[in-house]
Amino acid sequence: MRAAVLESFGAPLVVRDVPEPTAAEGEALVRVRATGVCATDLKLAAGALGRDDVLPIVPGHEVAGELVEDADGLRSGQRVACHIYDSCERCAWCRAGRPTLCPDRVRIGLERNGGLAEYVAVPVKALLPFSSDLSFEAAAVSMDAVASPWSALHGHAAVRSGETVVVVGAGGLGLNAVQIARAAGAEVAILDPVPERRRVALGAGAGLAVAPEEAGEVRSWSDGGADVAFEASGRRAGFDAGIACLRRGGRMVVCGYEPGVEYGVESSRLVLEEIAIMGSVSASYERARAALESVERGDLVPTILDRLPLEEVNTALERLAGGDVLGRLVIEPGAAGEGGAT
Amino acid sequence: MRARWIDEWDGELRDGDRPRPEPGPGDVLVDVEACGVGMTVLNCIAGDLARGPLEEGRVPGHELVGRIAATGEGVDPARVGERVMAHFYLFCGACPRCLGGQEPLCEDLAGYLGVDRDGGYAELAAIPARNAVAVPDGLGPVDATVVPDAVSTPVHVARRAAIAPGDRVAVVAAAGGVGIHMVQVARLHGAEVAGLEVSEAKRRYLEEELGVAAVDSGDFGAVRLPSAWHGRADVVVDLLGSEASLEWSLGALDRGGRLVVLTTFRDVCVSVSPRELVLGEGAVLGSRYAGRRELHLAAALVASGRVRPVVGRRATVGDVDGLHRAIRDGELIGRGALVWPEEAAA
Repeated sequence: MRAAVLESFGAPLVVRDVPEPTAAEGEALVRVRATGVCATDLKLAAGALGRDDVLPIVPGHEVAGELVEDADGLRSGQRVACHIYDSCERCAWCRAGRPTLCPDRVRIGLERNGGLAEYVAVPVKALLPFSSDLSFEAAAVSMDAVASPWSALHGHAAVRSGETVVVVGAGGLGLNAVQIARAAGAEVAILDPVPERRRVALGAGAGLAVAPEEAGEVRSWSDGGADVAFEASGRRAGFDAGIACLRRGGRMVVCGYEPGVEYGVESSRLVLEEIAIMGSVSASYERARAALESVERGDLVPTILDRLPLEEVNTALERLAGGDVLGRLVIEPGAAGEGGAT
Repeated sequence: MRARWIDEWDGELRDGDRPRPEPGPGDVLVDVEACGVGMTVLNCIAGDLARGPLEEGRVPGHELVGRIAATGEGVDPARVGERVMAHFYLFCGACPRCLGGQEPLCEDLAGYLGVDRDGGYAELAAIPARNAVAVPDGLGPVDATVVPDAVSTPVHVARRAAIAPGDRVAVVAAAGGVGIHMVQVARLHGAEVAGLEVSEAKRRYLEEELGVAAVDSGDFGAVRLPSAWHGRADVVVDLLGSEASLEWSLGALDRGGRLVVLTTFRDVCVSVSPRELVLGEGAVLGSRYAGRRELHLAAALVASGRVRPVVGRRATVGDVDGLHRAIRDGELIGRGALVWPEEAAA
């Protein structure tokens, strides 16, 4: 089968023929129909994820496709999305329902082969079936670009109806965060330096879209400040602007980071206004399922910017690195024709 | 009436007679039985919380306990005789925060008892009736002085940090007034607790009197948490708030860990690495005092014997200065108490 392989850090992916994977005990083979590309793929390719023993690897952690064979009560041909995490289920964090903190977790497309290939073998427990009403690309990006902000906003920040949420950065996660917060009954403001991104965010449901240096406008618009700030820009200026927008008792949930960046908040503001700053990484199976279901219900429509064949994966990564991407780019590994595994 | 007061911020703590206060509309007049004494009183006297210069002097003491002697206009006279403790934030009682039980975040805060109104270093104090929280039966006035801050603040922290059974909770400055009750409240939530303290006498108290694992924090580079913790904590409550303690606290957090910060210093920034924060799903939580509801919960914990009120030293109105010195010198364990009338402290 055809696959995009990361053979060495800092080099482009190599699209070539590789042996088809086989499903081991407890695994299922999925014919990949859509795989989202994400900034984490850029970090992986650059060797910035702190693991140098994963090469060669097929990246791609936002994966949806069809089951090749019956598995776990699901029939062959069933449309499935794949939860990213294969965790140990034995450690304290797994048992506490927090598999994303499992020290031994293995992630599809990051520590084991992922979806930038015609087929991928995934643990059966990672399968999330969805109906034919939902597109493969929407299901695929639900696994990270939707599930991560869903977990951050519902799981960590516990956003409630009637609250105001400020989303920092109208990128792939941010635009979905706008819709998730709107669906939760919140009013949403977006901070982004790029006018075109702000325009898109307004279309996604934001009631206010301003540049980060105009963050003061959020305070008046929200009658004293936002209850929740969602930060996914990974930049110090974004964090500072988000914190500046918060009202007393406000919650900042941080979803993005760039290596080597340090954030800071004055102790007086932190304490006297009871600010909470929380980190959030990806999503548990349950939260990924809830995110997928919210997309199925139509609570939000993930922005799919473009669909590209596997052969153009490096183009997709370059566009992402260029930073002008207003939504997700999706690779369709199966688009070229029928695979050979069935 | 006998009182201690200052004429200017950071001025001499005078001793003598002050005019008897009258309860204004919405006030109660409290016949003070005892008043908590801790570092915050010294900070208040120093003017750290002041908004402007003093005009007619100020009686410090924000953790007062006593019986209602008279009521002002608009206050139910049936409250006369009720033993009360003071919620020391002069909150408005009408804004969304106050209505939601978050009085310390009041949008129209008028300051603090003992700073912006006269407090409990006097025989009588007139305070807003909404600040006078009932003390449950069976709780004596000296024990009750620890409730309105030293126990209520830990109750708030435990709820804010969602301290749960099995959590490893490290408390920095664990033998101070708040710390010594924080370790107890955390344990009530089912946590394993370690208390960090610099002085050996305080560590011995934690171990021998409270059965809390005590850890030497004289050098934050050499802190050794209990061995079963594998060097990490699920919750760190930093009551010191210095750059060194904050840095240690953040570094000690395990995945999913929560750092609670309660202390503010000018120019001290809490620095976090977003990478560690995100990948470990950590949390940094500012925490400010407690709501009135939490004063009730704290009082119930002390009245029922589940939290031991630690009043390390009592003083009379004439010798509270010695108690202040002991606090400055770091010698006091738990809270101090100024006890009225004078002979009751003997």
